[in-house]
Parts: sequence; structure tokens; C-alpha cells
Amino acid sequence: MPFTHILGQDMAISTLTRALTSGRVHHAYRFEGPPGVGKEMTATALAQALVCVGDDPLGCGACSACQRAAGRSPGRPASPLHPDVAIVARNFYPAATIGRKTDESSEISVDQVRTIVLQHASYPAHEGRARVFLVRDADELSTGAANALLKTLEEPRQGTYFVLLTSRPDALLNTIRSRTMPVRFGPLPEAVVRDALEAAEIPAERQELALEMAGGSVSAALELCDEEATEAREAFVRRVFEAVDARDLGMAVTLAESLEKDKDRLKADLRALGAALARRARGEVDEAPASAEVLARRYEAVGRAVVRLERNASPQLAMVSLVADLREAGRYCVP
Amino acid sequence: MDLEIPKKDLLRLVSRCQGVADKKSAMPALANVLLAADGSTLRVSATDLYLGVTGQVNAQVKTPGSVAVPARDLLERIKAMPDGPLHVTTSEGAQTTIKAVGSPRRYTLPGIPGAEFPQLPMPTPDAPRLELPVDLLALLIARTHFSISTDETRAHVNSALFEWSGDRVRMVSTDGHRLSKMEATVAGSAATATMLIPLKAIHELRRLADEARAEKDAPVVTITQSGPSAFFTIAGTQFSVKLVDAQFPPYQQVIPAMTERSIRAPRSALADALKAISLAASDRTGGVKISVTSGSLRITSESPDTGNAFDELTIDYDGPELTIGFNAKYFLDVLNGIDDEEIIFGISGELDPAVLKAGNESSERSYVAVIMPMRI
Repeated sequence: MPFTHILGQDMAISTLTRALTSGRVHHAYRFEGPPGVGKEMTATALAQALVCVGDDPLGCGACSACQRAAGRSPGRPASPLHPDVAIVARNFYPAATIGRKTDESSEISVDQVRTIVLQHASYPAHEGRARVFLVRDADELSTGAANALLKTLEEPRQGTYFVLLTSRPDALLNTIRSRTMPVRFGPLPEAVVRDALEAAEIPAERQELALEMAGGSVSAALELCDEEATEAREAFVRRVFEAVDARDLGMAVTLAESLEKDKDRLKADLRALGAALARRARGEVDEAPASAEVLARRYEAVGRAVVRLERNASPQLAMVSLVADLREAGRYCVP
Repeated sequence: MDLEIPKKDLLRLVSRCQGVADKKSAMPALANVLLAADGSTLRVSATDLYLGVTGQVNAQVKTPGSVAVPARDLLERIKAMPDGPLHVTTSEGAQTTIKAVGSPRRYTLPGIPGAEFPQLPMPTPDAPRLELPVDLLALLIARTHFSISTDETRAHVNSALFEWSGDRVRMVSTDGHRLSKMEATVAGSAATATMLIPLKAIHELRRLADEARAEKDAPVVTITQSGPSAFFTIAGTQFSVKLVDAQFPPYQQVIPAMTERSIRAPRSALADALKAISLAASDRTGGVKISVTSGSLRITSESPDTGNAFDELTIDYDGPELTIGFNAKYFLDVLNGIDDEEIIFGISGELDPAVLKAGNESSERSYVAVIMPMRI
């Protein structure tokens, strides 16, 4: 059974299996949860169960339909091999396939929704069981794309199902949210992430830090274990500490100017900074509570900087202002 | 899979399937044709999930099996082979080798296992079958295909309605501005069927019917409706169409039961005049004014951008004057679709739809086109 491969998401799985066994599967689900906790795996398992030609309502995982629903074509687009399972995701299809001239750089375009979803939505499933659309990172749907989807999402024809995956449910339009049924995915327990890292043959010494920072996400943990990225992050943390300890903000400005434009990368670096501060605070809380308090205040400042970046602040300004905040936090420390 | 087949047989099947295989599809597997060998036949199929073509031919099959290979690549390679038998084999990992018997020329193509190709719909054995002369199918399509809506998001009008009741077959299409209906009697046959055939399939059926008519004298098409699909078999090629599952608009209400005035006009002269005047009509609307007065029919076009145009035809009409605006293209499509010498042109008021009929109406074959007027 496809659902048995998914670990640590018992609540979500039981919601779905209950719906499948009672035959009352909602036509549009919204899987919410941090990235890398099994949302897409679960959505694929749901698709398998829906198109399976065997007798098991939860999908047998062995029939040709089940295997093709989980299999992916080699090359681009890596579409499912089953004709009734389709993936909608930013830049998933070559521009020509969805009738565009350029690739989708920042959002899922209305062209993709039209060619991949709407054109097919008025026909019954090809192999007769069900048709499933998986929308990966549904918060990346452009406003036009989301609006184009509304009517179909509200009342798809019999046997058509949508699964919207998102790690930022509040970034979805209200009209999309109200048409979909939420299924929540929590962070994975540490043991599950550790098993995944074990399976990927990550050396034990790098596992600890990754587990701490990954926040229950397998994909984040695997990324954190990458040697080169780890070093780059450690160098960033070192430079921030140097800038905080410097005599003036000169170093902070130099640091900010050397940053790349990539905001996601900066956010990841800032999370590493936060984790480093938290680690230090934990180490010092017994012997030097005052210093731990400074570290805690600095940790909060890092959190604020991440929020500013999410609200589209300039990375350079956010960085300089963060260093200023970090210095400020140290100033009131009671010696 | 291991088989031997004459080049011309394989070439014919693959080139017929190649048109349906979709190179730019969202599913890369659909750019392939499926070769399936079983018993003593080779079946070649391609699909874009909405249309499917399957042809079969006798071949010397040594080992049965199936493989899917890129349609375009396969076609090019078969063309480049010398005439005579070809030896087709597949090895581990769906590598397909085509070798000319008695020649060292050989190609190897990467393919995918036949099981990874989407399943093609098959009619259930007990599904009802209808038989129709290909000529009649071609006529039904020729007179109605132009008024199918091209709006792909409105599937119920992006298709033609095909109905069979008793011994009458009927095809109707509309795009909201115009409607055409062709009806004919099939002697000695009675059946009941209703299907909505999508526009893309209508184009493909038209091509298939033209090819079949060129090859044979009076071929017959077998139509089978089964599940969500309809199957058209013409001269050994099976063509499957996924039907639109929607409600066609109630077209009978659109066709006026009678019109106040009925005018006979020469078809080719009218078409010629309309074509000439529409040159001067605005590109956006294509609107021309048609006015009937005693003994003559005037076509005019006035536009501040493109200037004016005027033409006049002599017709057999005696009555009050009436002027109606129309899109000339809608008229021309109808006039070019029929081959009678005269047409019957029925009008009522300046905001009422016009009705066009073929001059030689008979109970056996009847044709009606309805065109909505426009305000100019």
C-alpha cells in the first residue's frame, strides 16, 4: 500500500485513508506544512490510490496504474507516466509546451493552468478511474493563474481531484483557500529525519547540526549536510560575528555589499546564524545567564531580519540593520 | 520483440500515426508511437490522450512484444531504408534496432517499454456498431465544421453534435454567432446514437475520410460508441476519439421555424460579390450590409478606416426593402460549403437571424445554416 511508505504524518494519512475507505474523497485538498516533510509523497500516494485498478481503496501499489502514477518520465518535463496524473509547478514544463516564449521565472503562469489543467478538465479520465492534478508550491500560482483555476477547483467534473501543496498557506488567495480542504503536515519527528539521513549515508558528525537546524524537514536536513554549503554558512556566521564585534558599522556595510542577490540563500544563512546563537546561549545559560540573555535578544533580532526579508526588504539594508540590532542588543548587557 | 515487415507497410502505418503523436506534449511518452507485435500482426498506435490512431498489418512475428519509440525519428529512419523487408528487434532497455534485410544499413533507437505507454481505449465487444458511407461522413463534416467554436474552454460548443436516430444522421455545430445543421437519410439502416465530437477530432476525421476516398471507391466507416470514447474504423485504421461529456445547446430553438421573406439567389455570384465587398470591411468585425429591394440584392460596406464598397445582384424578389448587417465571413463559409447552384436566403427583420438553405432541398438531404445579424 503506497501510504505505508510515509513516516511521521499519521494525522494527515489517517484523514486521507478515512476518506478513501468511506469513498468520500474531497475534490480539492490543500496539503499545508513545511517543505520536505512528505507532502508530495502523500499526494502521490493519494493519486495512486485514486487511479489504482485493484480492489484496495487505498491503492495496491503493485498494479501498472499505481506504478505509472508514481513513476516519472526521464528528462524534462518529468511528468508522471500515468496519463491521468499531472503535475503543475513553476518551470516544470518547457516554455513551448505551455505556449509561452519564456520560462516561468517567478510564478506559475496562467498559460500553464490553461494548457495543463483547463484544457483537460472537461474530459473524463483517460484510463477511466480518476484524474489527479498535483499543484506543487501552490503559493507560487500567479493571481491570474489562481483566478483561472477557481471555477474548476470549486466544481470539477466527477472523478477529477486537485491536491495543492504549500508551505505558505497564507500566501494563497482567500478564494483558493476557501475552495480547498486543509490537511496539515507537521514537522517530522527527529527519529524519522535521522533515519532519512542514515539512509542517505551522511556521516554522524554532520547529522547533529543538520537535525537541529532542519526543523523536522528531510529535504532541509539533506541540504544542510552538504559539505560545501555548510562551510559557506559557517563563514557567513563568522563574518557576522566579526562585524558585530568591530568598532563601527564599516564591516557590516562591506559584508552587506558582498551579499548575493539570492534572498533564499540569505534566509538560509540567517537561520544558520540563529541556530549558532541558540547553540551558544544554551551552552552559557548556566554559567553566564547575562550573556545568554544577550544571545537570546540577538536571536530575536535575527528572526526579525528574516521577517523583513520575507516582506521584500532589500537584502543589503536588512543585513546592515541586523548588524546594528545585534550590536544594540549587546550594549545593554549587565556585566 | 522480433519481427520482419515490408518497408512500405511499416511506413504507411507510422506516417499515419505520426500526425497524432504530440511532440510538445506535457507527457513526453506521447511523442512516441507504440509498436506491438502479437500472433502474426503488428499494431502501430499513437495518441495524444484525446485522439488515438491504431493501424495493423500482417508481419512475420518471431517474438511478440511491444515498445514505444519517438514517432518522428522512427519515420525518418524508415524512409531512409532501402525498399524491401525490414527486420525490427528490441533488446534490453527498449533499445530498438531496425535493419534492412540484405543490406548492412541499420539504426538503433532508444525507446521506452510498451508498458509505460498510456493504455489506448478499446471498445467493449458488445458495444453497438453503426455503418456509414465515408462520402456521407465527409459531407456532414464539410457542411458543418466551420461553425464549430474555437474556444477550447467551452468544450460543449468546441465540438460537433453527431446524432443518429432511425435512418436519419445529423451533424450540428454552433459557435454562438452561427449554427449549421446537416441531415441525411441512410437507406436501410436504423440506430440511435448521440455524441459530441471535439473540433480537433473533426479535423482529423476529415483528413482520414479524404485519404480513404482517394484510395478506395466507396468505403464505409464503422462507428462504435463505447464508454467515454467513439471509435471510427476506416479501411483498417481505427481512430478513437474521446467524446466531450457535456450538453450541446438546444439547437432546435435557434432555427427559426419560418422566415417572413424567402429569396432565391445564385450561390457563386453571391459568394463572389460578398468576397469582393468584404475586402473593404473592417478587419475587426468583417461586417457588411445586405439590403434587399424589389429585384435586387445590394451589398455595401462603409468604414471610416478602410473606405466604402458597393455591389449589386439581380434576384427574384418582390417586396419591401430591408437592410441587415452581417459578418461576411459567416456567409462565405456557408456558401463555400455547399455546391448547389442556388441558395435560399430567408430573412425576417433587421435583428432576426438569417436562414440559409441549399437550393435543391430534398427530404433525403437537408441543410440549414443560421447566421445572427450584427448592428452596423
